[in-house]
Amino acid sequence: MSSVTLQSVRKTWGSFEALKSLDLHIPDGEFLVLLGPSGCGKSTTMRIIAGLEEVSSGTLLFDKEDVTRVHPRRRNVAMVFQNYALYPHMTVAENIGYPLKVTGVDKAKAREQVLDAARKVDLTDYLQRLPKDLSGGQRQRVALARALVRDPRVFLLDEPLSNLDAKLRVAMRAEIKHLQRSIGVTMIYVTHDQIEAMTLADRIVLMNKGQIQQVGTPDEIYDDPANLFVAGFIGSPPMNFITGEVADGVFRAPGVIVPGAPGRGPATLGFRAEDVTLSPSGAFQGTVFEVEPTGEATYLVVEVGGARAMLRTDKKHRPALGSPVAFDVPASQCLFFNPSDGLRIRRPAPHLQQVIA
Amino acid sequence: MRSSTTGWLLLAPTIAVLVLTGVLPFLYVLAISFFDWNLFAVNPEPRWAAANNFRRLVHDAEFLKSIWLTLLFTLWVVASQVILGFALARLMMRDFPFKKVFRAVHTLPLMIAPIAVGATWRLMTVPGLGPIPYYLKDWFGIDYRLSMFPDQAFASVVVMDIWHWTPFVTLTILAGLSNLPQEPVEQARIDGAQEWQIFRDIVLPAMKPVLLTTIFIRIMDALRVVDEVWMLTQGGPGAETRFIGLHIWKIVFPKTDYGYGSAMSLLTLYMTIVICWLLYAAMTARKDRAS
Ligand SMILES: Nc1ncnc2c1ncn2[C@@H]1O[C@H](COP(=O)(O)OP(=O)(O)O)[C@@H](O)[C@H]1O
Ligand SMILES: [Mg+2]
Repeated sequence: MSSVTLQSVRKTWGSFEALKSLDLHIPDGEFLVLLGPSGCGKSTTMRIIAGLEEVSSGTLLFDKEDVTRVHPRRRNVAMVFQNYALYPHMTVAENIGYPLKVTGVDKAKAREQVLDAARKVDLTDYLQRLPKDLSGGQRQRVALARALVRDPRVFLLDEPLSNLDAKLRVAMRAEIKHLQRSIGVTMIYVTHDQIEAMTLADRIVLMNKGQIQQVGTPDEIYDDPANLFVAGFIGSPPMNFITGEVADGVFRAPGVIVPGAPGRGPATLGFRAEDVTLSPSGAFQGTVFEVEPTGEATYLVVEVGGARAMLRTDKKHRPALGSPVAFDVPASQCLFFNPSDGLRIRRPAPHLQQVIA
Repeated sequence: MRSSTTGWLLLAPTIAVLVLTGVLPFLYVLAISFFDWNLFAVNPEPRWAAANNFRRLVHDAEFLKSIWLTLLFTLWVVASQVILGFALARLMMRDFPFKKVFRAVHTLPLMIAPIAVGATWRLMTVPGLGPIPYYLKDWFGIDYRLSMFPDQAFASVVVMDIWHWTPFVTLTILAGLSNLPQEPVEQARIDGAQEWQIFRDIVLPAMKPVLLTTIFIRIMDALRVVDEVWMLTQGGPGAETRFIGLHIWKIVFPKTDYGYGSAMSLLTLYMTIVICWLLYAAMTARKDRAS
């Protein structure tokens, strides 16, 4: 097991820049999730760590060892591909044992290790089957067992659950997390599903267009997004945005007046559906556009400040369409962004605020 | 019900053509093989001969020799073509300068009619005229005369066939290789496999269907080779390159022994089927024993 460090890693194909100078340190034993929309360079990052793609420039370290030019065979990483990449003509046992076979592990010892790995993922009854005779979830387990069988330095999983149905996905999610905790391996997990990222990660790396947008714990990413992209990507429903103007510390948009806003000039106000409290005298005034009951809550789609926003309300709440609605959001839950570059406009820290006042 | 009728109607032309061009001639040959039928015999009418033609075959030394030669020829050319074709296909999976030009030129032999191939090789091998005898003599001191030395004639026919048909094998294997999913190969690389292990454990098994099909096609073609060999050696010297196709031709046409010729054709067909079946059984059985 080792830590993984990427230093200024760039990857280009012709004039297309898939990764733009990535810097990242993943401590030994961490469960790191690479999250981002499709095509943002997650798989490319993975494949670089595995050695399947060469970097265009930059350095890759495992612990202190420079592995940038090391052949994948010698990196001792384990990888689970999205489609599992099982060897179709080999039985489950042969699939799991392949990494041992090619590295010349003694046969009796290999058999034991295969059994051991199969036991960890609950596959012992299927060892003689061919991949085509397994269900999706079982194939997934074979791929996991094959990765587990040989004590890798780093464990890479590229969208391992995206081919499973929703129910199985939730179950396997828990198993993978449990597995990682119990063997304490460094795991890098790629997904475009933010729920998966939030539930699994020690830390999330949120990427977009080949660049890291933010690195942080799930809570940090959720509560303290660095920019509009992060704020809009994380959370379900996504954060609500209203664009307006800040003048003299007050944010204004049609029907919206929020005091305590930092900076001045055009700004985008962001708040989350669950931070809303309905109140007739609220600072936000809008009309009900649509009502979406989900069972555990009722979401209102509200036209406010020239945009649409989702509000989470009591499950029994069923206002008429087109009726006026007013609500408040606690000041601490109102985030401000610069609409031109998308970056957060932060309030000065409290002690600085006093200095200014 | 209606849809099934429509289906049959749509299939009807194909079935009709197949019956007319495939099934009927086959039945005709099958029937003739049980008759004595020689247009220039005293009695030119077909006469029922039961299994006589087949009985004759088993003791026909010339025929048995031609079968043996054909099998030898087939083994040599198919094995060489598959090995060479695989190597060339692997090469063409890579990038190298002038790859497109190379690929185009390398498929040229495929587009030449067998008769023309035979004629070309004939020209190249005529003593005193062709470059091959000249250079073999000049560089290696080899006295190369097709009409004199059976081994040279046999080797020349083999080399000509390899030259003619390797591009076909290369192309089918190349198609198979480019359709191979990359993930298992990459997975194996990560799993620590050497390139030769990846070839043996991942690529070859995945290529088995393509290989089998290619080998079958090549075996069937090689077993019935006629025109190129006729052009190059006329089956000679003596009968040393007289493969089955040539042999049947020599029996049926100059001697107009149709019944006997048909029997030979059927036996050849039977042999082809048996060989392909054995090969198939051998190549698919291995896995079952392993597990
Ligand atoms: N071999 C390649 N050649 C050219 N472009 C590629 C190649 N592989 C990936 N890309 C491009 O790089 C970008 C990032 O791809 P990828 O890392 O697979 O994204 P994802 O985050 O969905 O896994 C995509 O725009 C993709 O089209
Ligand atoms: Mg991907």
